[in-house]
Amino acid sequence: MKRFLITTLLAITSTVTLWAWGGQGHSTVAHIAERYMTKRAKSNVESYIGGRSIVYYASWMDYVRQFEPYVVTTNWHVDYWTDAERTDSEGKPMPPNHVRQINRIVADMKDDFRSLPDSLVTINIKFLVHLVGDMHCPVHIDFPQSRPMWYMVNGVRTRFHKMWDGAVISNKHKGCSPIQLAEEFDIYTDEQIAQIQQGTPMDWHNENIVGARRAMEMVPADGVLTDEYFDEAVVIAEERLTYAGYRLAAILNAIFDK
Amino acid sequence: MRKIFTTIFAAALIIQSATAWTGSIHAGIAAIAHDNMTEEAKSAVVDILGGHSIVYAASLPVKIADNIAIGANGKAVKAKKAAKSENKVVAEALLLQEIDTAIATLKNSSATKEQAALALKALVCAIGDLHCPGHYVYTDALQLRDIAFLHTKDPNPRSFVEFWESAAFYGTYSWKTNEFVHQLSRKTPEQVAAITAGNIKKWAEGNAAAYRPLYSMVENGHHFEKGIEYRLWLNDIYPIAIEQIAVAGYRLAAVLNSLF
Amino acid sequence: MRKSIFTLVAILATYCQAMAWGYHGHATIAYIAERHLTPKAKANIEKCIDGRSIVYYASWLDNHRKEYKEWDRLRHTCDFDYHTGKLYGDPVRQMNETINILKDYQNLPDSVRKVRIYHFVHSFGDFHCPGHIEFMTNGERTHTANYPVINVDGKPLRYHTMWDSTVLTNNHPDWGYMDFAHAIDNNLSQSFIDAVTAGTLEDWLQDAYNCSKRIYTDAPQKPEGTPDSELSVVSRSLMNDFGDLACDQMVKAGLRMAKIINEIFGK
Repeated sequence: MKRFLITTLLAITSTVTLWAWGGQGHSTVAHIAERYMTKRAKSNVESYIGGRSIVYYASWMDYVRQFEPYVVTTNWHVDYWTDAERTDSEGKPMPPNHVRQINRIVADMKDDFRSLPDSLVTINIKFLVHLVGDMHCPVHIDFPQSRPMWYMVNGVRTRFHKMWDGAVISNKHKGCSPIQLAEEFDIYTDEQIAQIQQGTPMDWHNENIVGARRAMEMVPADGVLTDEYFDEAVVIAEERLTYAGYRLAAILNAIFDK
Repeated sequence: MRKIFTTIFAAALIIQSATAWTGSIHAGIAAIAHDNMTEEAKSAVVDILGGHSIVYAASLPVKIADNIAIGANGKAVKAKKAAKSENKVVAEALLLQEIDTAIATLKNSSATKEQAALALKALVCAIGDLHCPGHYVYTDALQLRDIAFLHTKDPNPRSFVEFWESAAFYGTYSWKTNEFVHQLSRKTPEQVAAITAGNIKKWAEGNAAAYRPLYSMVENGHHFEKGIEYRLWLNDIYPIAIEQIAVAGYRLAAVLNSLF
Repeated sequence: MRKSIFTLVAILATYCQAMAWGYHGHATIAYIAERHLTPKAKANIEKCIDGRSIVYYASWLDNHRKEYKEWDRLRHTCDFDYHTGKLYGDPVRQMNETINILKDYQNLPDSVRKVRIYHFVHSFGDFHCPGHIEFMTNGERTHTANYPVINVDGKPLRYHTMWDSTVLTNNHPDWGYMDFAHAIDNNLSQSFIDAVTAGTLEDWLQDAYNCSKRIYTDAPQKPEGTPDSELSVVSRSLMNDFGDLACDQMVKAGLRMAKIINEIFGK
């Protein structure tokens, strides 16, 4: 708990909050999703967010979570909050935090979003566009051993999580705006996309663990991350972001295409 | 945390080649090229790069020998001769060779996809560098990299070459890759024909002559004492940088269109 | 690498005098305007500026004003009476003058026409920047964003600078003007556009006054020279709100700019 207090404090005092993916990654996810939303779903979603695109809110959860009434959402971004309960009162394993929140929101909305108060739909959209991205971020899988990991990148000591959140993408795709990244990453065929959109958030989470493990195991024994590491890492990151985009579209279509 | 990041990226900057356009400008050049490529050329690129476009190739740059030596006659010095020169900078003068090799690989039907992808990335990078004044090494003159200037608010002298990599452009605009297209991919067919006439060697020589006057734009050791003096100077320079970026984009498109 | 470019740009930006809206704000406003131009108006205005986009010239006046005496003296801010909202003068007169001159754009000398277009695409954006609205009380300038220094994330920052760029870039450091425009000018309804673009320049400035008043009430100012420890703190949460306000203002500015360009160049 103490470590988390420290982490939280650190996050609050840092200038830019690079909790998940970073703005570049989250905006890219939202852009890709937009490309695959049906016309009806898109216009229904947009009617709740006042003339803005879902891209506008892609990182919203990151910059409000330090303030009330959103502090409660802080641990929704990752799979398990350290030291928190991972089983329910009957001892059954609980899905990870972000999956649980996504499932809850989808369950609330899937029957008839129009019967819900507008403000609830709006905020649920803001949650979804962010959480689906986060659950595809390899470092949002909590391997206990990865938490305290620090690495040397170009001679500078860097925390593993922070590095994955932003640098993996921005290091390789310099000056690429999210619009451009979406264009570059969205290279799958319609059949592949349909395949990727299959399954439940829990399935996607299990799949993400593979990438996450790889991201960690790729690290050389000496802990010095070189260009080669980033070359490989960026491939994983691109795939994760693109999958997240397709799946966000699938979720929003399922709720709003009616 | 941000400080650490800034430091990381600052370190990355130092490790990177100190003479190229910065990566984002390369990507911008590629984006302009992409916008002016034929459908055949685009799909050939997609095929080589496993689904990606030329812009993607530019944002994952490869290391190439990126200087071009210009002799007293204004012509590119052959790499072999240059290598024998006393000036050690000139020994790197291999940019034109890099381009030739890349084109040969792309023309070679027995090259593997991996070789072709590498050659394509090198080509994208090299055509961009061909249009960056910082890459021209005049064997008979003071080098751009030897010219440094000072600014009152920046305690470290900045070399003119370093300035050309990025500040010559980013001092005025911060375009993203797609924005380079919006701003610069708007030449008329006549303008494009004029830009893309000739061949790579002719372009290099034309650029060598065109970049020569840049040397007189700032004296070595010049001290910009007031922000406004620097701004006025920058105003003379950024249109040149922008035109070079646009020209590089159209020429890269021309090279790729003729290749595929 | 990219961050270091930002750092570089930040360094360069401090070389220059305080800019209005900053690069992102002006470029976004001009780009939103461009998205709402009729094809004819777009073609006509671009013909006047060497075939470039109006976005290219959105910050021209900031960068080049020292080269033109008459434009260097131009005030980039608007003054209102804090209590009554009465507008004090000059910038509006100049803007109206430019709009009137441009109405006859076909008969203007090339250089005059260009500079008037540059003035228009820049200053029109400034009018919508909350940091460019300043307030007078009893004839004295009492609320000006140029004046106070504030504390953001533990660092002293001029309030004006915060409004020029930090409000936009702090949550979206990776966005270009196309990203901003896509995110905030998204399938706006015709009724919204009509409502925003109804009225005259004076009405729009009054609207800017109404929207901007809170930037002084919500973030109390302290005079220059106040020790860092006593500076007013602008919290992240307030910055988030201000970011939304800035985006709203950019949309309005872009739509209104488009309306005027369409009127002049769309014939």
